[in-house]
Amino acid sequence: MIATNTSAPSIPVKKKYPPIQPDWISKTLAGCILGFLLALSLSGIFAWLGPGGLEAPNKSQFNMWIVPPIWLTVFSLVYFFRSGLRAWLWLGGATLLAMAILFLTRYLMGAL
Amino acid sequence: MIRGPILRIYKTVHTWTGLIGGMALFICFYAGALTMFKEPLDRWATPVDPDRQWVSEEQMPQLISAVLASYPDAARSFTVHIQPKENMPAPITWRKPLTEERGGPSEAWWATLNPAGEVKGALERFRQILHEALEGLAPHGFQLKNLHTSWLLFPRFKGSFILDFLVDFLSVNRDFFRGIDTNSYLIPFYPEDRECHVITNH
Repeated sequence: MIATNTSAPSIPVKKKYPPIQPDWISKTLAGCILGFLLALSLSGIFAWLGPGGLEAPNKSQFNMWIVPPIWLTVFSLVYFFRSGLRAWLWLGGATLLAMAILFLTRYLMGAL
Repeated sequence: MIRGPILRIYKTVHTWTGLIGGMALFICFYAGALTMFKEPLDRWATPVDPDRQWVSEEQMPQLISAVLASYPDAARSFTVHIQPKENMPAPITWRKPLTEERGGPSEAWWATLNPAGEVKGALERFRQILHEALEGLAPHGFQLKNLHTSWLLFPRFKGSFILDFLVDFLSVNRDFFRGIDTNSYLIPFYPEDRECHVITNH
């Protein structure tokens, strides 16, 4: 973004970003707890709806080992949120959505 | 281009991740080293039991047949320790599985010949610890003594429960490793070690 000034040569002006709050405890907890729940839910969705469904041989290994990569990705990126509250709201929303999909899947596929 | 505030936050994340991860790795590597060298450490930390009865190489066949006759459980798989080792209670040891499950819980047993040439076998470790705990109370009749010595922190305790559980838990793979001859790791410590594993299909 270029700001123009009539009295001086134009100079680039840094875009104003909203300030970022460290919020160490709440962000860490969000990454740890919600990241884990989100990873579990996504792994569950994959287990039900991914290739081969529940019965694919040895798929349980992938289902199990995909949890930590997702978890740690969320955990490591959670500090980009502007505040702890936003982290909890976004991740909580994503987790609830994933869990809802998972339980809906289980319901529709006759496990509940 | 990463903004300054984010960079500062992630520097702190880096520091703490490094600290926590470093401690976890330290525990892993320490436990791994202890597991790898459990047997030499065990032997190193075990005083020789003066009452222990070993058997000459000529008597081994006699001992083996006597053990197989008296303890049919040993027929599945047993180990003959041809040279005396400090941490071995007797020339023949075997593990008796307590469940059908592969790699499940098992008891450690040993057997030797007494001077009269009779076979003498016993359950190692935990019953042993009980015996020793009761030694002061019970009338002296037990011949079972000092079979397993805790090898790490409490050499005064003859087998500390928690450490043995921990070590056993960590060293489940030891026999597997030995099966594919990583024994070469252990041999430099005690070049005179000779033992043979007898595995029969029962």
